[in-house]
Amino acid sequence: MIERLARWVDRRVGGSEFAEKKLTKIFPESWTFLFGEVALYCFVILVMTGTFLAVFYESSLVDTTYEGSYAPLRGVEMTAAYHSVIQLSFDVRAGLFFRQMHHWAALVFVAAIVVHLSRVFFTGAFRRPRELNWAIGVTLLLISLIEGFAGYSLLDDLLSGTGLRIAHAVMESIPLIGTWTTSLIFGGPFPGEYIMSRLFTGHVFLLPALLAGLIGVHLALVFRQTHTQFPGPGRTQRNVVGARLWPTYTAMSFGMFALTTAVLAALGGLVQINPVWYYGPYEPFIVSTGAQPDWYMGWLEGALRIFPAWEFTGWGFMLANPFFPAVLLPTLTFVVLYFYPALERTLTRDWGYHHILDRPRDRPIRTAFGAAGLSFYVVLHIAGAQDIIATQLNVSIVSTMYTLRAAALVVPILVALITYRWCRDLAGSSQRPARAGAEAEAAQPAPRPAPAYGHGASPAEEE
Amino acid sequence: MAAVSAAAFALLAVVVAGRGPDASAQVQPQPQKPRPEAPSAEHLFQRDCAYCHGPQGEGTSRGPSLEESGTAAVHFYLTTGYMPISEPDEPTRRREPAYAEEEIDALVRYTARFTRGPSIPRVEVDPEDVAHGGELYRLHCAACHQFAGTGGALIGVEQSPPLFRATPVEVVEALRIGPGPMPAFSEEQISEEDANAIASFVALELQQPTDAGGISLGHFGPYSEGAIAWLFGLGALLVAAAWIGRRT
Repeated sequence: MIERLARWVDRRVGGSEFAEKKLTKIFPESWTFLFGEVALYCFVILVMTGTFLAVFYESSLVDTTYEGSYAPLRGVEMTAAYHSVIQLSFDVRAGLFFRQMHHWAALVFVAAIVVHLSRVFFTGAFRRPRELNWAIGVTLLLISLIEGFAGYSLLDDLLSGTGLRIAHAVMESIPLIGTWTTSLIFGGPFPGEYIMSRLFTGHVFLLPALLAGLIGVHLALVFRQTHTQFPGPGRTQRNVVGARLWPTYTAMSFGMFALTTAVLAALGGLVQINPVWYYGPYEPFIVSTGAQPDWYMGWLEGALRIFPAWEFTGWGFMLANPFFPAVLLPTLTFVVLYFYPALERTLTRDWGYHHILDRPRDRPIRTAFGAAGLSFYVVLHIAGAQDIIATQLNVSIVSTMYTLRAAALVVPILVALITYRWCRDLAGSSQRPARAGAEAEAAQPAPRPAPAYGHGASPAEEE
Repeated sequence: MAAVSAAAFALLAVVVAGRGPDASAQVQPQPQKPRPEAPSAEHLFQRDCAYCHGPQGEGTSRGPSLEESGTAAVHFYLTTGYMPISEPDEPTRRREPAYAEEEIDALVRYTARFTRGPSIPRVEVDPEDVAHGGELYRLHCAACHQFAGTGGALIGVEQSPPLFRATPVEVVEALRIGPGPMPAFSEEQISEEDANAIASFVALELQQPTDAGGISLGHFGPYSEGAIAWLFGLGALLVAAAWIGRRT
């Protein structure tokens, strides 16, 4: 029956030959290659749960009075946006579950992107011919951060309103164009008339469409350029050793999807996230202590908290304080991320094509640089909860600030030195086993026959 | 040999345990069992309070005068265990009260002779007031005590305490007297009904939270959620990836 249907389609549309070729494509095996898939499947779940939420969410700042089933807010004035979120949480069947699953998926999504990016960085998978896909990946991270922030801000609760106010102040600190851009985006002075509907349009239509499109290109490029592989017996620059797309790799990938769904559903059903009913509706004159953003914005929050109170005035302009930690720092971060492949290529004069991955220990400088960078952002992230650390450890908030400032400067240097040293030691210790492997490979001709397909259509081959 | 060392350990444990209560007695006055006759508040006051606050509550160089503090303050500091302290510089922290309830009542009656100011408020917790109390709480209290009442950091070493153990009477007393760095709110700023509403919100919502979504993670805010997302969310999925990646 299915076969007949397939033949019917094939006779009219064609492509069975094409499909067969693609389905037998080889993917190399390493559990670390599944990190990107976790991000992909989080995105799928974000779209599915988000669609449910969008049905009940109202992106409006019109004032209403809550009369729903959650007694501690009954009779309280609030915006329609916050009102719809409280309704969704307490009066829509499975509403809170989907809200929580969506939020957990968002946190894990960005975390998976960061781990995937780290894997690609430390193994040198970004090198020629894959620089373009690296740039697309960095763009995906950037858009995900904006997308997450926009989603977090839609709820119009006390914490997200505070976050939006900070974003407003940061935007205003951009020299020359700051105030104009801000009032353009917000639609007038804070909070502006249009900000909610713009955040909604961005979060629900524009950014997800961009993400989906770029993810498509990202995966198509992996397919076209073939996946990188770790060095090993029978693995060369010209072949790919691994499992076929159909059925082995597809089964693995589907298993990953099922497990991602299971973990996110368990978190969504069992662990409370963003209980906005405690935070209350946003009022610009109200603020709470202990306010923090979602984790992926924590590094910016931390930078804002510990950056010294510098401000410069000259030629009738002022360079306001938030500019340095919250505009300059993220700009530099992403410039370094975008241009790292070019930078490394120039410094190492390595212009060649690489399909075989590095072990991090074999590239001590790159590994030390990456580890130092990560540690810097971890310190900034910790600084984002500086007041909670002060309360929990029973120390003064000022001393945590000075400690974290010092840590932001010292820790990356220490981490770099230690990592470099460690890599050198590990590289020295692993020299012999690696050579032993090579000898075994030479003694045993082609232990695993390299498949003919895989690299066949790679543009790299044609060079 | 093992028996000898076990015996030595047991002896050591007895010695250490025996020292425990003595050591703590030096820090905190031992709660006195109320005697059959009424506890002598004067005796307690002169023994534990007068050294810093003066024999008539007039204050000394070690402690402030009690003339303006009112019985609300006397009651608040004694029931929260903030007082008595053994050193003037000792930070005020919530402890088990040093006195029995009758003794606190007697001390309140005793100090009422020389103190003027806010008296112990009458507070009625009313579920109808919770929503309004929540609004007032966010407006007046959340900036220091946090949206869920976990407390928070203030400038310097001071901290705003968590509100999970505060009784409704203590909440209103704190409002009126402003303990530590907290400002005192007059009845013009927060009326009696509003103070009642805040106490109702603290007692009925903050202390019995509606954790509709599951495990609460302590209401610390998004950072605790981030930690869970990394440890249990991504962590579980990385383990899953390692497991699946080894299947082929």
